[in-house]
Amino acid sequence: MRRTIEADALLARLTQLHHRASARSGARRIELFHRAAVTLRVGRRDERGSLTTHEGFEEGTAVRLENRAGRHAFSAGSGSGESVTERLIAAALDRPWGAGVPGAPWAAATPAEPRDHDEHADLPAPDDLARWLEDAIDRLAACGDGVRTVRCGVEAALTVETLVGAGGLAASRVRSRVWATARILRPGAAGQREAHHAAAARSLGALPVDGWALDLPPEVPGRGRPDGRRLPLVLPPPPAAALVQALVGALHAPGAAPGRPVGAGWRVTEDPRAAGALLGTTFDDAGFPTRARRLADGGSVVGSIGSEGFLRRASFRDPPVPTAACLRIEPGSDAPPPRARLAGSLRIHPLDDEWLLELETTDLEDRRPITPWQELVLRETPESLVRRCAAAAGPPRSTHLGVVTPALVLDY
Amino acid sequence: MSGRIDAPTAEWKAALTAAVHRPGRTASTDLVFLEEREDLVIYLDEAGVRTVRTGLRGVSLRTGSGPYRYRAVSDPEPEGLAGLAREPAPGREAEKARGDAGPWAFDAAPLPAGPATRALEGLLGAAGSAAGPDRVRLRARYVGFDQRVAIARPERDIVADRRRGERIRLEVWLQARGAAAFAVGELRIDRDRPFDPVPLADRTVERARQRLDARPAPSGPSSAVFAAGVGGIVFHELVGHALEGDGAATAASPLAGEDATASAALRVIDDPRRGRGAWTVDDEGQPARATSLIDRGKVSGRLHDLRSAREAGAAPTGHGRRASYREPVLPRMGCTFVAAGDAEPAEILEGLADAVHVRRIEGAVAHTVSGSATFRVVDADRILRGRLAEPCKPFLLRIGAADLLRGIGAIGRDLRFDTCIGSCVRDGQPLVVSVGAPTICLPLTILLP
Repeated sequence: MRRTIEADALLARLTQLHHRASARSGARRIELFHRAAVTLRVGRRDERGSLTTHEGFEEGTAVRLENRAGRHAFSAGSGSGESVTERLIAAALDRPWGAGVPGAPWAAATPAEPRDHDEHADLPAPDDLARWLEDAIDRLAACGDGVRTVRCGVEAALTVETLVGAGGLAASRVRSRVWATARILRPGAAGQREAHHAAAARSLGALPVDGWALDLPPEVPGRGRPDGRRLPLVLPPPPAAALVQALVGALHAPGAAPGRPVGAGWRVTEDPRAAGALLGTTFDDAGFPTRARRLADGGSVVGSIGSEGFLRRASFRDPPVPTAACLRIEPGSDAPPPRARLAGSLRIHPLDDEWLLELETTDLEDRRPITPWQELVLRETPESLVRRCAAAAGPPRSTHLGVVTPALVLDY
Repeated sequence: MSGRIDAPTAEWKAALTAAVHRPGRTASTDLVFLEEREDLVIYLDEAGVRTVRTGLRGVSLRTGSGPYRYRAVSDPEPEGLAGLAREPAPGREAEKARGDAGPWAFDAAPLPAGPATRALEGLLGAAGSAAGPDRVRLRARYVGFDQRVAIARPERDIVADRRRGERIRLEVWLQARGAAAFAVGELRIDRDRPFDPVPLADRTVERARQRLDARPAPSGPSSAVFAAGVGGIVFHELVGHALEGDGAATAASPLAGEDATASAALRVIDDPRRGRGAWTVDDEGQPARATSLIDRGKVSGRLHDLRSAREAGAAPTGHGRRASYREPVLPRMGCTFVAAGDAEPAEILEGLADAVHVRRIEGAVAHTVSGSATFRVVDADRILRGRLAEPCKPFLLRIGAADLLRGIGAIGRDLRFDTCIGSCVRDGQPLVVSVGAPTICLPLTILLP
């Protein structure tokens, strides 16, 4: 099973393919995007089971083109090479988009930093992944309290993305990343509680092996929550990251008008250039140079996710679309409030123009839990929710969503 | 739908057979899985048409009897399979020769974009007519897929299967009488029947008009009547997932043991051979069969892949599936449905003083530890004094498996499938599934918040 991908050779080959396709196809302009990935995954599907390993090599090509009438088109498929490219071009030319349908813009030149390669891009061995996973399971079990890992896995991937387009556009990106997920059970006052954990890093060494042994306080037996008690709601980085992504999608989408009021803790930037950003890059997936953009300053909305420099593909089979991938919440100087309601998990359900937030929370006194974990359901609009973001507390953490955030404190 | 498909080419058959045989080291659960798949999505709105056609080709070799080892490669060539199977890992030898694509194993015509686009145009035209003078914004979408697979296992003939599905969705935003409302209509396309857009357009636009009067749903405990087809989603989440043979259910689910009971009229079945992503053999080459999950109110079976069947000492049921060649096989549902009862649908409403009538669910989350699930209800009506009253604004519905089993009310005789079309995601693997149910009343639900 191959473990390396030659990025420069891929770029040279794709450039040749692009040159020939541009000459033969009759399209006004063509862009070729190629993605190759070697993946290694080790996982366990239940507590009884032994580890399963998965090794994969995948590559795919996507064609974006503009025909002579100025209409866009897109198609994608597995593989690479002349016949794959010709087939994809033919499929795209056969079904151009409507004249009024906007496609992503076209980068007219190579970005200033076209070779965006991780300094150390390699894959751990399957045995290393297995050892990491077993270590993580053992560390969680050592926490006691009857905590168990039910289903878990760790995956490493080396990817090379290559982009060639009209006007001399030629760029490549090489990444190696590691992800780990786990489904964990822990006994609670009202029976078993389930938690889903995920983490990501640039290398196996940087993936915290004790990350599942969470920073959540243990169960506290006792009475339920006193009715009517209003406390600030603290979201630690994992649930805070989910809320940040959702609020940016709702309030900072392309074209969103500035000026909407936000809470003092809502100071957010999209910064693909930030050092160490999990999904950071020097050029977007249409070849435009990336740049940071401030979205909110703790007082109001000041920016939205733009187009050029913010275009991403969910996979090689998707066209590039404006996407926030490297969100950062500015840390504040505040410590978490001593009396608060701490969220352990968050699920957001959009319902028309409102959201229903399902949370698991415990009440804190002097930052110690005094109630068992209980469900809390809140109904808010995104606009009211962002105004409640009163503060950011504690150190920022990088999450598997690519969001870097400290805990968020919501005023209730 | 599934369909007959010719076996892969002779060249591929020979390569698949050779790859799965490793003299002296072969396990009966070894397999080679070859996949060729096409997806076609067409969007149509006031800006115009947008078509996205994508393809996926790959092969996966699985060895071992547990723990399994998987190796997968995209766009394979027959001569490259031998390298995939060699031990130790052959490194670059497994890579196919650079320069061109591997030959396709199956001969299949591409999904027809022209007729699909015309169908969407007809649908928007009909919806525009139905809207009349009301201000309306329309969007339509066609989604089609065509997957061909070949599975080779030791000492067995190669089996092939084809899974196909097409559907159409219409979204209507309507403004009138100083209010705005949204409604969705969708249906599965049956290639044996010509598509008539008018009924779908008419009823979706009419529903949007009705929803101009929507009011917030009540909250708290309530009875819920699920329109024909929709209740299948509830049983998929609360029964189907709990009875997936790899132990997805935990001790908290009342279905974990064999003594859970429900109304004797309840029968729940999963039959992968019917529905929109139907299969005749699963991704381990096992024949698919209808599996009774609940019969006369009692747990009567589980859904198995080869590993879970072996561990349970049960026969495989042909439910081993994977989202693609890149993923491992898991026991998955295919088409989960509640068998028809004998109640008249109208009579089910008549006995209810205050309840909700659920027409459409988009989104569901199963909480396997607590044995409950949360459903996002996007279209419903209030039921007052046995009759449908005003529509409700969207809300969340929570149902516990224990309450589901204890409290099943009347089961209608009007079984329908796929009135709400969706996919099931499990362990990050999306899979096209179908659900079905007649009109059914569940007295013990909770509306949130």
